[in-house]
Amino acid sequence: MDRTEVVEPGKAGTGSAGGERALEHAGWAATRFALGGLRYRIPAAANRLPYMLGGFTFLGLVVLALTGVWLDQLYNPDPLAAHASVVYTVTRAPLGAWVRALHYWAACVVLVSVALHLIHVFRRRSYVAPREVTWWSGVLLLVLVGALAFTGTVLRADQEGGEALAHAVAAAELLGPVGAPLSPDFAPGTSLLARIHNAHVSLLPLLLAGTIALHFWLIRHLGINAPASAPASFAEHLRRLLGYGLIGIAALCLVAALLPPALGHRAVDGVEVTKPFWPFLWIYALENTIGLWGMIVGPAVILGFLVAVPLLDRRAARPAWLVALAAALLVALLGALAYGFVAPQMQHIGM
Amino acid sequence: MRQSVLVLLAAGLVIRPAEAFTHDKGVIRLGAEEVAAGAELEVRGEKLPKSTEFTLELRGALETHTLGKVTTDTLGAFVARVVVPAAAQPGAYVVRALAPDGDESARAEVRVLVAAATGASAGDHDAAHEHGEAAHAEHAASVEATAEPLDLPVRHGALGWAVILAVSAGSLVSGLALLRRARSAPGHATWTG
Repeated sequence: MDRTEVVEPGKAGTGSAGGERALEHAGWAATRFALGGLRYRIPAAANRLPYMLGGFTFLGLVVLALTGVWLDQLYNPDPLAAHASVVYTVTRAPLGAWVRALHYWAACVVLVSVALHLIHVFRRRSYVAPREVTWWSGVLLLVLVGALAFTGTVLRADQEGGEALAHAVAAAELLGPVGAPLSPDFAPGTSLLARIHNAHVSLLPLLLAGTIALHFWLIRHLGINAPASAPASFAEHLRRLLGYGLIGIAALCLVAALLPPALGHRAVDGVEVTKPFWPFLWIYALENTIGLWGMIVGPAVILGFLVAVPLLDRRAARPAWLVALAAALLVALLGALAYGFVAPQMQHIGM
Repeated sequence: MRQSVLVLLAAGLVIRPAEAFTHDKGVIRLGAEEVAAGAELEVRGEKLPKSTEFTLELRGALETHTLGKVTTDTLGAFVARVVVPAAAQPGAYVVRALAPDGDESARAEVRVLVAAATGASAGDHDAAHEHGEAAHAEHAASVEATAEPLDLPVRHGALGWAVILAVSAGSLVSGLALLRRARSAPGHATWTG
């Protein structure tokens, strides 16, 4: 390495010569959009792929937003018409099947990349002071992404979606007043499916956008927690991120064209014959084991641990028991996920 | 360069687009916004070509039913009572008036509810609406639930594939170009955490 300057995370600077030259040549747009602001310094170590997982997640969310806008033009949230409108999207709408598949596969990529990002950030101990709020905003983003995945499943209005909605209502009943918004009686003038649709396309995306803005703001000003190393420009980091991201999107486009996601038959109320969207299979496994409370206790334990992490690790060195606890939870979660794939189909509601 | 762009923009504003030859658009008014499958529905047409036979069609996202044929009077209007097929699945539909050449001349939206038990008509639509959700649940219970996916024909078509490949190729080439420019800078990406 021919550069001897060592950069501490978050310190501003001029960045690499290559990145600067490229930005200078960008000309008109660079000036008008103040792209020079992207030339702040970051450690070159942050250009490694594990540090780009958050960025890949964001790119996936952009794909989801774009495809979601298209799909929403064709979706009818009327309970009587919802399933037919999805079938219409798949079978008749121009590029409908592909856009829906792209939406589905992008959601899968986002859920995987956000999980890997969380594991990497935990491993790097990037939640210790002063980055506690960055971590907590990330946990909130995880919750929001999970909620978007769940509501998206419901909107299909097929058997799996209908059962997911029934589980949401059952969970709301278990939670009492806290779950009131998910009760069909909360707003008798409109259907629960229409309100879930509203949450999926407006409430949750708005919350997500605001939380992402906070997350990015904190990362910008508190810095990327990478090992101290030679300086690099954030613009260069962004270029690599976009480069790999666009290649990933190209692959995603082809996967979506070749592997369209399944759509079930129109939902029949009162029976359970399907399993949930695969990221929720670990919760399904818990329901098989401890009943309906599993879908509340399981996520509560995981989220409780994630929220508590910065409070439990406040010393110079990370306590060994915290790592052991995190590893145990991860193994349990992966084990439950694997069990969910092979577990027998069971009736949970009304049992 | 800038002048050329301005000239092209001005030309775009001045030149009128070629007029497409289309049928005059008429109006369809329905006796009810909601109707039970198997019930009668009043359809009124106005501002249509005079003394012309039209085919009335009930078109949904998944199924299309022919409701019958009507002929407009000398004022370009018609009134007809049609029966919504009992086999029509509940959902959102469009009633379309098709000219003899198959083009749509008018349309109106209607919501088909679950078939009523006996002799419902469009006049009963309020009751049908009130009982719509319950009837839907009843209808649903009569169908066997299955975890099997629908066997849907997914065809992208030549144009669809062209768009998919163009977007894929565009993303790939853009990504590679960005990485090529980034290669010379320090800290080249690796999977080493």
